[in-house]
Order: sequence, then structure tokens, then C-alpha cells
Amino acid sequence: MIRGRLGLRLDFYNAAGVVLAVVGCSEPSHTDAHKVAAQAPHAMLEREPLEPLPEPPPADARVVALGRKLFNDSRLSADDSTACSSCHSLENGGVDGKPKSTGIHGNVGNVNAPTVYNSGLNFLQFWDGRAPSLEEQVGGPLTNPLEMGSSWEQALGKIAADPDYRARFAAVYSNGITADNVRASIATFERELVTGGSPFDRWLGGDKDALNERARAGYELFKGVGCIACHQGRNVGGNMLQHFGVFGDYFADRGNVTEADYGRFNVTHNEADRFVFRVPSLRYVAKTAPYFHDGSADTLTRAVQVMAKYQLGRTLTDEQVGSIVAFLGSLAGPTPSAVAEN
Amino acid sequence: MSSRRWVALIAGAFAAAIAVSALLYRFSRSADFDRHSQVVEAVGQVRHLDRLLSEQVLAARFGLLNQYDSINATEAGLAAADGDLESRIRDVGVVDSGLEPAFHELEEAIAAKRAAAERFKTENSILRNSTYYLPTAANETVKNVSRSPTKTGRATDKGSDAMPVKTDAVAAAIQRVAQTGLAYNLIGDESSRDAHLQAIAALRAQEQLAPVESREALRLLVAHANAIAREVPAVDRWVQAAVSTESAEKLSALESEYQTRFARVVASSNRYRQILYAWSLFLLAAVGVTGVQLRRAYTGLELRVAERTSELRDALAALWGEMKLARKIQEALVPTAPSLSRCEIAARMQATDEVGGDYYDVIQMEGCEWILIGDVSGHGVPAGLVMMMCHTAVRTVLGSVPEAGPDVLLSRVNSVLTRNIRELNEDKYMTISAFRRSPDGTVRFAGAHQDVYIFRAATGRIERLESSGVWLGLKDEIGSVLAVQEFHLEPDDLLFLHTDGVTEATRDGVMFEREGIMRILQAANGKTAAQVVDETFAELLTYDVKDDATVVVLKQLHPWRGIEPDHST
Repeated sequence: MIRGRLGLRLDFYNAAGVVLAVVGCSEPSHTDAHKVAAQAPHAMLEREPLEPLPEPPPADARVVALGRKLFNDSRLSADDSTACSSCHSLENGGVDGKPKSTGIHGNVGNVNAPTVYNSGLNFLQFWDGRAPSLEEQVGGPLTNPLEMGSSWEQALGKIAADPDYRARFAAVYSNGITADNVRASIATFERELVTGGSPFDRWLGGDKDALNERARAGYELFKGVGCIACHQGRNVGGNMLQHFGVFGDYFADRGNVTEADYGRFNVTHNEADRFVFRVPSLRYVAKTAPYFHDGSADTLTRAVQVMAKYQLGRTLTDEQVGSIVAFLGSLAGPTPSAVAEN
Repeated sequence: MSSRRWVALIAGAFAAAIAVSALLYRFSRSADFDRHSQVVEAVGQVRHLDRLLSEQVLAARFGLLNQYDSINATEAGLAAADGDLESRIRDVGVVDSGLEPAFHELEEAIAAKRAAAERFKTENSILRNSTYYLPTAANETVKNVSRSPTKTGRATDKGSDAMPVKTDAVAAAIQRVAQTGLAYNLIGDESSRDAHLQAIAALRAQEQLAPVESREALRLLVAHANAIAREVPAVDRWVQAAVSTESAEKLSALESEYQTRFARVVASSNRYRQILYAWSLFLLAAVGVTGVQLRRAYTGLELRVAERTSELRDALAALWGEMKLARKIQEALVPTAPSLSRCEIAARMQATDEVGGDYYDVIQMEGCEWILIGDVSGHGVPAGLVMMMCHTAVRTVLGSVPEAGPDVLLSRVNSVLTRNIRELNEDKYMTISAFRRSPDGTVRFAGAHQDVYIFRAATGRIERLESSGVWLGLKDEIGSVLAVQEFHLEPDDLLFLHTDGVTEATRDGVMFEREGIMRILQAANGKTAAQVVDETFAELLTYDVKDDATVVVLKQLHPWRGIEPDHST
């Protein structure tokens, strides 16, 4: 196995090298790999599979403040009990810590609430990826009878009754209070929730002391054992769809399969999409237990073990898992400034 | 046509010309090259992103791209660029029902490409993980098998001498699987696939020979080998779909359809531009011609004004000529050197610029002599005409009725005059006094005119007689109201007759009046009639005379003078 910063960047050449090595019955050396790397002129080779988080996009502070108010406003639910923030608590990693969230009237939802932090960087929204943007995502929970159980008509009526909202909307939207403007405001706020400046990002940026030895070893394992195949890019995930249960039938082993477990199949009704989910971002993973769409993994250690078994077809030692968990802990940055009231 | 209608017509024509120009301009601008260039740019962007997506998928397939963020960005960009292209083409305004399918097909091809890329990402991750892990797993498993304390899973049925051989066989099978798996991933053809499947089958056949402790590792190894066997065709299928040129072809088709339509618009727009140029030239020519016409009309107008002015001048000159003629007639009619028996008589008429209405006449007939003086109201040719009529009428009446008295004369003259004035349709009348003198000095007169002055040489006194009667030209019959007066002139007495031009002459706001006449007559003793007339007009030189002024002076002479010349010698 090739180690070091080159990692999976070279898997094509690596694979070729291994073929040669196997044919020649000798192990490839680091030196060989470096030579190969040095000879490869393609610019794409220079990229790490993970990248630092970008800056939050520039946005009108008034819209962000309006989105924050809406995000925290329980009046958007049918019985004024549940806000977006009820399940996506900004103080609690953008989640509620429950396997499945509780909506109005104590209804329990179908899937685990994913974190709202860095959600703007996901290529699709929801576990099954049914919304291509945060704007389109907003309507889902609002009208889901198990979540906020409201309707746009009802929610807009309550918003319009509040003079503060009327003033805020009038200040930034020429057409005042509309469903589209509510969506846009909340989405704009959510896109600001980028947790940049994590120890890992600082390390990527050249700060050698930002990661301890264990986390660094965890990063190498993360790339080496194949997590990186799916959890990749600036958001460490959230940029592709994947089968849950590549090297084993996760759902048969877990039992009690529900419709929510069908994942993307529920969107496309294509048999190839059964048990396919959007790969979640691991940027805030240390703070968002329990894990998976079903909230079945209580701890990150357990989650890493399940992933290794069903996704990578490997058995990892406790030491390896611990290192990976340490690395995952380094991915979370400080709470974004947009969370605080200005 | 009235000038208002002309203005409305010109304004209407002007507005119509502007409207036609605007319409032509709008049609000539229907080919919007700015927007066209934006379409071309958008086509280029879609083509670029479409190609970039293909390149990125291929790069990811062969490990040159180690994460999918850039593919996602390209996908999102491609979808946006497609939407942008469609809206830009719509902005050009060439979209018709024939273009809609092209939009739809391109959109579908791009959606299919994106869906293929999505599935490629999913399957490629699994393949990548297994191809990456397989050689490592192979090496680790080989070590695992070699180090295993039990050495074999079937210790009972094989001899101890066979064990190293068996382990080596398993190790060889493991390495064979790794080798074929990677070769299959790289080559991907049927033979390499068969070789890989055979290697997996061979390894599984020897699975029972491996130590128990390494069975799990072997199972995972086989799982990854199978994953490669399963994923390579899947991944390659999605790669092929994702790098398909269908979207590029659909883009070219759309571009071609668009270009055809835009070329039509350009052609039509060029046609309209040519029409616009021609129209502009026409308008320019029309403006030029109109200007020339206006200039010509203006010049004609000037000429006509000049002609009219000249005509007027001629007419005026003719009028003046007539006036002069009228004056000449008037002057010719009045006697310049009258003479009567046994008296001196002198007369002068000083006319104003226009023909005045003054009239006097001295007529010597068989047995009687007449002196007439009068004034027609107003000035000018009509007054002159009336005066001439009077002159003629007097002569005519006297010719036919020589014995007529002054009242009869005036009555008859009035009849003629009144009728003629009415026929002239002029509002005229005339003052006149007619004096019938006998050579012995007896004078009978009638008719309303100015006062009559008589200077008595014997006493030096001045008598003034008021004339009476009515004016001529107002009534048809006046005979009943004419009274005849009579006086007698002794030798050296002076009779002084005048018109109002004399008495109404002014100097420093004071009129000549009867006092002026009195002054002249008081100094008239021993003077001849002509001298009195001269002195009167000499005096009048210092006055402002506004009207015709006429003076007639008669001096009665001694009976023997002229009649018995031998007495004087």
C-alpha cells in the first residue's frame, strides 16, 4: 500500500505499479510511486481528495437575519410547536441527537435528521437526494405531517401577521412575503452555516501542528482503507450517491426494513436505486450522533465499524477505528458567525 | 384649400414618414447581433462543459481525478448553461415550434448524461475501493496464510510434506486473482474478464486448503475480486453513457436549427435595411424637392408681389394722371381772363393738390352777363365732375333760356345736377350764387353761397349781402325757395366774391374770415380789380390754405369809358 500525502491521488498509477509488482513478484516502493508522481504532468494530480471548506458565500446580512429568524420560528409549524431549529439545533451540531426526530404532536419522523451545517455544500438535499437545492428542501419538512405539519398558506398567514416580518420582508423583497422568499431567506441563511477553520483544514493549509499524530494517522487510514472513495471533496461527502451495503446486506442484518430504507428508490422508482442514499458529509460528524439515515449507530466508533464492514469489505482494528474517529473529530470547525444574532 | 388643412396635411405626411421610418428601422434591427453573440457564447459554454464533463468522468475512471466536486460543479454548470442557452435563444426571438423539439432533445441528452455521470460516480467509488484494496488484501492474505499456525484447514487428509506446497498454491491463486482483477480493470475486455473469473473460481476451489484463521481474509478478498468483476462492466457502461457525444450532437443540431433561423432573420433584416436606405434617400430627395419647390413658390410670390406693387404704382400714377387731368379740365373750364362790358373783372382759382370743388364762371351773352361762383362739397374727381356738370348745365340752360333769371337758372341746373349726382351714387351737394348783371351796374342774384361784399367808392364803405336759398344737388325741386336779390353798382364800386377756401385759411390758429376781406377792400380805393385779386392772394400766402380758394372781383367803370373812347382823348 502506498502511504503518505500522495495517497489515492495515484491510484491509477498505483494500480499499474501493483500490476507490474505482482507480475514481477516484488512490492512497489515509495520511491517508485514518487517517480511516477513526478513524471505525471497532469494538474489534476496535484489535488488532495479532501479540500478546505470555502468561505460562506457573500449574502445580504438582512436576508441572513431574516432566514435565521424564520429558521428558529416555531410558528412555521401547524401547532406552533416545531421550528426548523427544533430538529436542526444550531447549538447541537445542527441536529437533535435523536435517532429519528419528533415533529408536531409527538410524531416520530422516518429518518435521522441530518445536520444543517455545511448543508449548502451538498450536491443534493435529503438522505434520498430528492431536493436539488436548499430552496427546494425547505418545503419538505414544513409540509411533512410528521415534522412541521403545516401548509404554505398557513405558514405565510402567520408570518404576514407579524409586523416585524412584514418590515423585514419588505426591506429585501419587492414582492414582500411569499413562499419563494421564505425559501430563499432560509436557504440563504443555511448556506452561511459553513464551519470553516477546522484543525484539519488548517493542517491542509500548511499548519503542521494543527493535527495530532493520531488524527494524521487517521487521515491516512481514511484514505488508505477506502472511506475516501465516497467521503471526499471539500465537504468530505455530500457529493455523490451510494449503495448502503456493498459488501454485505446491511438491511437484512439489521432487520425491520421500512420504506424509508429504500432510499433513492423512493424518488426514482428505479430498482438500481434501492438502498441507495446520498453519502453524508462528515464535516460535523463528531457532533451529530446518532448516525446513518436510520440513526442506528449511537457512536462514531460504531458507525466507522459498520461502514468498514458493509461499504469497504474490511475489518478494522480498534486502533485503526480510533485513529479514524480522531481524524473525523478534526473536521469540525468553530460555529459560524451567521448563527449568532447580529 | 385652407392653410389649416395644409398644415394638417403636412404634419400628417411628416408623421407617416416618421412612422414608416421607425417601422423599417425596427424591422432592420430584428437581427440582434448582440444577443446572437450571446447565444454563440452560450453554445460554446454548453459545448465546453459537455466536453469537460466527459473528460472529468474519464479522468475519474482512470484515477486522474480523485474526487467528484469538480464533476458536480460541471454538472450543475452544464444544466445552468443549457437553461441559459435556451433563454438566450428565446431572447433573440427566433423560437418557433420547430425549435422546441431541439431544446427538448438537448435537455434530455444532458439529463441522460448527468444521470449516467451520477451512476458512474456511485459504481466507480466501489470499483476504485476494490481495485485499490485488492493487491493490498492479496499481499496481506498471502502473509496471513503463510504465517498461519494451523497451516491448513484440512489437516487430516493431507500429509505434512504437502503443506508448504498447498500454501504456495493458495498464495499463487491469491496473487493470480489480484493480477487478473487489476488487469481486467485496466483492459476490460472479455478475455481479461474470463481470466479474472477463472482466477476467482480457482481461488475458491483452493479455499478449503487455506488455514482457518485466514478464511475471513480470503472471503473478503474474493468479495473484492467479485466486486471488480461486477463493477468494471457497470462502470464502463456508465462511462460510455457519460462521455456519449449524443448531447454534443443534439447541441450541434440545436445550433444548426438556430443558425438557420437567425440567418433568415439576418437576411430579412438586411432586406429591410436596404429598404430603409432607399426610403431615407427618397425622404431626402422629397425634402430636397420640397425645398426647391418652396423656394420656387417663394420666388414666384416675390415676383407677384413686385408685379402687384408695380401695378399699384402704375394705377396710382394713372390715378394721379386722372387727377391732373381733372384739374386741367377744371382749370380749362374756369375763365382765366374774363371780360364784361363796362367793368374790369379779375378772377383766380388756387387749387389744392387734389382737385377741389371750386367753381366760377363769367358768361357774356346778348343783353345780359352772368357771374357764377360756387363750391362742391368734398374734393377729388367726384367733386370735379359735379363742378363740370354744373358748368355744362349752366351753359346749357342759358343757351336754351337766355332770358332766365338767376332763380330759374339755378332751379334748372339743380334738376340736372341732382339727377346726375344720384346716378353717380355720390353724396355730393353744391353751394352756388348766380349773378345776372346789366351793363348799367344793376345786379340780380340768387342762390346760397358765401356773403357778397361791395366796396362803395363814393363813400369808402363796405356792404355785405348775405346770399340765401338752398344748396344744389339735395332736392329735385328748389324753385319755390329761391329768392332773387338786387343791388346796383356805381362807377368804381367793387364787387368781391369768394369761396370758403379764402375765409377759412388760417394763420397761427386765426382764420382769414371776413376781417381779412374787409382789410383788403378798405385799401381797395383806386385799385384795379386785378390788383385787388393779387393783394388778396398775396395776403393769403402768409396763411395756410387747405382748400381751393377762389376770388372774383368786378370793378364798375364809368359809362363813357370804353363806350365813348373819343371822350377820353
